[in-house]
Amino acid sequence: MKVKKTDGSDTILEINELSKWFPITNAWNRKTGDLKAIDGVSLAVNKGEILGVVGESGCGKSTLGKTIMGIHKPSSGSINFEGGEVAGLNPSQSRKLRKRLQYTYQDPGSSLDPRWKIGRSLDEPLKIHTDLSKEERFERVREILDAVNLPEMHLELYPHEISGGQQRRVGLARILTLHPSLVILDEPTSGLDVSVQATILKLFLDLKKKFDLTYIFISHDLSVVRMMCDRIAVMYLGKIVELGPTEAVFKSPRHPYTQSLLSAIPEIGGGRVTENFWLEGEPPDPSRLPSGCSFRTRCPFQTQQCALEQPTLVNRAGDRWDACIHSRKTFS
Amino acid sequence: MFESAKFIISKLAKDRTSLVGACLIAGLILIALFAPLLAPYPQDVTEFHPPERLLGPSMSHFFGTDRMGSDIFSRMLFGARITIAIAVIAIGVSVLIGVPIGLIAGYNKNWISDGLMRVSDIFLAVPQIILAIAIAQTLGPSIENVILALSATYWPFWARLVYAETRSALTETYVEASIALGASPFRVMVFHVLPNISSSIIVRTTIGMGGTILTAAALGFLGLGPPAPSPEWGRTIAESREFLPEAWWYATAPGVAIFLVVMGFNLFGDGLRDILDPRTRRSHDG
Amino acid sequence: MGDALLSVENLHVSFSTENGVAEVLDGVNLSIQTGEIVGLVGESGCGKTTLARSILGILPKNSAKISDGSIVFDHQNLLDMQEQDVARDIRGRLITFIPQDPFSSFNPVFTIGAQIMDLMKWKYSKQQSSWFALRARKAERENHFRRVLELLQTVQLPDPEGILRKYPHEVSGGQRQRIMIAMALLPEPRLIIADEPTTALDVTIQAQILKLLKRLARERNVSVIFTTHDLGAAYEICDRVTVMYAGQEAESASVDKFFEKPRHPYTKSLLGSLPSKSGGLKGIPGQIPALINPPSGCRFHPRCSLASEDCITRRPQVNWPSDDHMVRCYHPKIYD
Repeated sequence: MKVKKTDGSDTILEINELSKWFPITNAWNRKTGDLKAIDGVSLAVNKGEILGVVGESGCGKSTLGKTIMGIHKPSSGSINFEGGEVAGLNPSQSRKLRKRLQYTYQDPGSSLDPRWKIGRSLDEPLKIHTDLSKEERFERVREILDAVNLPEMHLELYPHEISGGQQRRVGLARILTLHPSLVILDEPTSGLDVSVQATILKLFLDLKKKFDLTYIFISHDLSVVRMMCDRIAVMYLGKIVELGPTEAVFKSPRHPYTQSLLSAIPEIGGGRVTENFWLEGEPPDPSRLPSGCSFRTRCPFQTQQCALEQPTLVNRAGDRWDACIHSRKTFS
Repeated sequence: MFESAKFIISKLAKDRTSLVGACLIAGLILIALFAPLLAPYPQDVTEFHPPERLLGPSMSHFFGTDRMGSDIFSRMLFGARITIAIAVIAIGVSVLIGVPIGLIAGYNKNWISDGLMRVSDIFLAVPQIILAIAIAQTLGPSIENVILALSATYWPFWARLVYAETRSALTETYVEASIALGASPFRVMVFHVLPNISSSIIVRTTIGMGGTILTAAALGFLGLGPPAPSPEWGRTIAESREFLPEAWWYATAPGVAIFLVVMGFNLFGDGLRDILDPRTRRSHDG
Repeated sequence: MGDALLSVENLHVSFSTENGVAEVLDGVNLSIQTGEIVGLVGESGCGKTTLARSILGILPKNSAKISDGSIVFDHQNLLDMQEQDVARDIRGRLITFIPQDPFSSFNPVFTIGAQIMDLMKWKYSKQQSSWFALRARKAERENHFRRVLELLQTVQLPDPEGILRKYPHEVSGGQRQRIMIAMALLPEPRLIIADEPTTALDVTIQAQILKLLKRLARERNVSVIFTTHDLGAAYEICDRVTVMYAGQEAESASVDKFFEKPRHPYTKSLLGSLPSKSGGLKGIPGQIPALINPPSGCRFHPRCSLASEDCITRRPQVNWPSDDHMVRCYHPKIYD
């Protein structure tokens, strides 16, 4: 059990060898294997940081977020939040936990009950968790609305009557009524127009300061992650392949997958990706992963050794970790 | 887009077929309420005048007279009361039993839910009318037993419907979000799932009324419903059998009454479904 | 402007909706030369998809209305042609389409091969119903098959024959998109309209697809209209970029000029709100307007710091400050 201790600041969340496997069944409902959505993930999140989790479809970042949150029950491993073990709690125990650990959905509109007025959706968490009177709850709701820059008249509207960006704010507001300490943001900018995106990101930063939040920022949009996150974890097929401070990883990625991922991002004003992009093929079938390193089938640096053992996340220098036995300092 | 009552009413008003259905239903209700005032011979529900038996339709007797000489038109109007009572109570009771069972079975994923659903399956495997006949036959012909028979055979339908809808509603993101916020199962079922499946239930109720009325009339026809001299429509048709085809008005009146009422509910229910059922709603975006 | 392959002029398209009539395209111009890759960029509601579909003639018949303008393709105004002529000669032959979501273009219960061969038979068969030409038809079918395999190889699909035997859900998004590219190239078109072809794809797959599309378009000298909301993707593949806002085209320039020296305030703000290393989150105040009662004149005026009386009264005319740079603005500035 490896614990990823970082620079000594307060660790708010610690995950150890967390796995979530989904059984694959054939037409006769017989189990034929496992889909290892996340496999042996270990991570520590510092209080007050924004940790980015990036990767492409099928890498498991969304499953990771949901498993930490308790939406999925982990197959194995531990989740330690604010000093207490939270993996596999029963529903009433985990309910109390919800006040401190929260989650935003990719599609904010669908996370709101379409038949409930927004005011009621915002009131619900307070009703569940607190004994405040109706007036006191209303006060808190107004406070939060103000913090997310939404007008009070929205309380009387239904979700479909407001825009996507506003729905996102309502979703955020609803979580914040509980004053959580850690918020998992799952694809917080997906589907947003570029001009709206900036406003929402600014809002995240404001709220972080105001409510003293820590974020886990799950996204496939690397340019946004580069701007927002202090540290970044890169996932591929259920495992973390690289972890470290954002700028350092972007400037000198060590894992070949990270390198290809970063080099795929168009950079306006720079050279064109399409000229030099080298990664070919597609990720292998996640239910039938290659032996050893799952990236080796597409990796230009692979050797025989790569097929023999599954690489683990190793601390190279300072706060940089990667899972490649040929980890290089720079890629030319 | 939204299902406030005003919106629904305005949409319904634009759809001609459901308007027809609504009028028929409204007609039924009004007749049932004001039968004593509308019937030219209200006393004929219980009285009889043998000398006037089996007279054809005329100005004084719109639908003629029956074998006891009573005015069929007036008896039909009172029969409407029985029909409504049976339909409303039977459906009401079966909904009140079936919906909570369906909710509980849908929310849990254990032996409780399996057990409840197997019980419903057993009930549903037997044709409703056969089961209803068996129950009514055992208990004896009366209006209460008809209602009992209908409720007992209809609740599994609601349980199964609500079970399926609950299962699907539980996969909705907003339900997941509520649970993530700490909502208890009760809160989720009653305040989130139920309102969102309510339109399904309402639509099926309306359409189900038609079928229930038909089954009730069938039971009445078989003699299992309220006994003579009740003006129940099915019973009247049964009575008329020995006098056909000469006294054609005797069977036609109740037959037409049943037809109009059932069609009314079906048309209205269809219109309601077109508005409330998201799957058949036409989308105007994009 | 030389001999353009496609020239859209003053196109006005409106949609009737439950809440009123939406003016989705407000007199839009667009021109493409042979062999050029033109990007149509913009945020939601800007009209890029509607414009693409207007060119193909696949707007919803009941609600969409083209009230003015012309679409001249190879010297013919498509709007003047009969629908059956457009369907037979233009759509799927001279102008082909790559959709955003390739999954819904396939029928899930048939294999990919079956659907492609069906399309070939329907579209490209010389003898459609001749009973007697059985042998000729067999030869034709083998010919089609070979061409399809060839193209599937060109788009770098491993095992093309195997792919044809698979069902749509058994193939990944990137592979489906490659198939769509192959299908788009099959009739040897002059123009391909690619509607957000990489939006749903992962960034590494996007890089592969963009590289492929660019290479093939160049090799075959095919023009491409590439709509996207992702400015980075437009930067990668396009020769020229046109930006649209709320149904109006705002600026059109060669790709480098567009990104380095934009002149329209909207373009500038849009580029400024992209996440960048230097941080500084700058959105654009206000909201994209609804198209049912849009702002008058230049639709960007409510959010523009340079807006004046003119901007509100009349939409700015087309202006060519330099050879390959078009702006529709009363106050263009050189931003750099």
